[in-house]
Amino acid sequence: MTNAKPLRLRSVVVERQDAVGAAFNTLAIADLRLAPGTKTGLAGASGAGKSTLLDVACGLLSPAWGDVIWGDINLSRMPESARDRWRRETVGIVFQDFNLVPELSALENILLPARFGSFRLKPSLRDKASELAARMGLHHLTRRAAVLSRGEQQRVAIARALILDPVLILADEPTASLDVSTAADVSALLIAEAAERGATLLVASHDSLLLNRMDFVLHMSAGRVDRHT
Amino acid sequence: MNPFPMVLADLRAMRVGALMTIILIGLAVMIGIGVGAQERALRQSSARTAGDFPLLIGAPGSQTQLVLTTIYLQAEALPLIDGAILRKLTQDTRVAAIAPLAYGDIVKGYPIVGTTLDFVTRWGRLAPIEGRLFERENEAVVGAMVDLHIGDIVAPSHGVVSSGRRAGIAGDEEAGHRHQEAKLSVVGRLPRLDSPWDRAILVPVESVWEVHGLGNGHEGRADHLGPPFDMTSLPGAPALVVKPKTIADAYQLRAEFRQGGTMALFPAEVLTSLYASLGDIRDLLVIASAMNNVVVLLAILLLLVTLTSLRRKRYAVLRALGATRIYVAVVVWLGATILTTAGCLLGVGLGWLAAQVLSHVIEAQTGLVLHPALGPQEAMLAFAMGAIAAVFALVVAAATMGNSGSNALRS
Repeated sequence: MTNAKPLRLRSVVVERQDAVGAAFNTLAIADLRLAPGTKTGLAGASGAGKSTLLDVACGLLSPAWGDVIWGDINLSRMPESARDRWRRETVGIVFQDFNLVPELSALENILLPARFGSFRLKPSLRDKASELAARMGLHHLTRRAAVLSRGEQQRVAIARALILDPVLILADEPTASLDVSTAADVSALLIAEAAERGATLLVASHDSLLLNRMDFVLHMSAGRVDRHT
Repeated sequence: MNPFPMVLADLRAMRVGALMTIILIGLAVMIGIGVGAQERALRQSSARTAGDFPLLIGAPGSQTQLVLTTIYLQAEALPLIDGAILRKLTQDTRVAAIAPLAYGDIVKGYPIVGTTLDFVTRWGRLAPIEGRLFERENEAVVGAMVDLHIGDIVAPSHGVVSSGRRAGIAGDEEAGHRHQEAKLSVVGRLPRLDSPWDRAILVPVESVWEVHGLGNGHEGRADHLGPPFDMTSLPGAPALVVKPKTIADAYQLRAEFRQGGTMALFPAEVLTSLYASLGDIRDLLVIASAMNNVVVLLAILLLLVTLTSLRRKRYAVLRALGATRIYVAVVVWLGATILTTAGCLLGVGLGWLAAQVLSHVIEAQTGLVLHPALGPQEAMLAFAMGAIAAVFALVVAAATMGNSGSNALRS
């Protein structure tokens, strides 16, 4: 049984300004629906709008027009603080370059999202972090993130994304910084963890091996979804 | 929310910069703290020392110099007042006790002060901690810090203690002006007074007069010390310390001896004026230090704004992971405030240390023992600095609130 809900982007437009101040669209989505628990890939050249779509989907970026709807919650009309809380409780994000806090240990990095909501950590969260780390094949939890290998760093980043049991997992080029073998391992982990939670998975990637394992792939260019396979 | 793991991570990330920031603020705060504590200690110590000198009478001249020379033994040749004044005061019914003070000789850099037993015992308050009081001419009682022992016999030299010269060491100049015929035998040691008098050698005033060929103030009675003096051959003295019987007597005597070739003063009134000047200097230094502190804080604020802008992506990641803008602002504000508070605390410590060091320097040069301590004023100064820094840190924190998480993530 999953708590994931349908994610819908309706008439979403994101504008940016060029060097002379003229507005141009970086994202223009007429209607995009992701069913709960599905795995969707975003393909396209750099600048096609994949990362912008991820930012909009998690409420980090507010569109100029349109609605981002999670179940029956319209994120576009939520106050920012409520959107932040929703993101913390609902979304797990994995970045291309991991974005760990290098001065913190692997364990502290995994637990970081839990620090945003409460002062004291529940003991069960620490156990859960250790368990997650074990599943990710991480053995050096007390080591600073800065001294871990790139593969280990991405595993820590995935564990961090999963620590609060998100039902929407967004990954932006999760394998781009990794060698082929490690990329395959990380891809398998990400897909398996999403499947186990029944979470909706949305992955922006150039990695065809990863994209081939998605239920759907949306091909983007110039901020639009051209086609899906 | 718990911002501390991120705050500690931020501080770790900038550890050299953090250390330099703390040291910079510490040095800036140190000046105000040190000046305040030192000035107050100087005031308290000098006032304590002056307590044994109710009314001073000297020849007309600088009141400040009379106080400095008489109470703090800052050597300066003072003109003598006529022995008739001493004679007149010893017979005055308003006077409880009177002591002439005569200077002009030194031993191993220690000033010799000729006076009476009344003054040596500070009007009966003190007793020797070792040996006894002098009972005849050529006997001496030494201050607690004088490096002479009971039974030592020394020859005084004509001269004064020059500033900057260490007491306890006889200079070449001293050897050249020695009164070879005069010998002083150390017979006692006084308790510590924490004043320049701890480094003085006290002898009967008659000894000083005799050494300088002025007689001994007791015609035909060479074995007599102190009042009553002989009325016909009484030499003068640079200063007289008078202990009046009542406050009214003190004011009457001061008014009376402010004319007719003498100058009379309560040391407190001169000290009050000196304190006012000291206070003005202190205020100037504290104001200068406060302005300096504000400039330092502004520079640090700029540094923190720069550092924070360099961390835009780091904070954007926190936002993407679900942190609110408030969380990020609190992380930045706490980090900056911890640095500035640590700097203020370091400044308090350094200020106290600086005051202690300065006290030792002053003690070595003047014999005046200071006990600088931190008081509410210093606490207020440090608190004010910390509060201003905390407000400044809000500016840094507020600057992070406007950052777009999405843009920063792609930067």
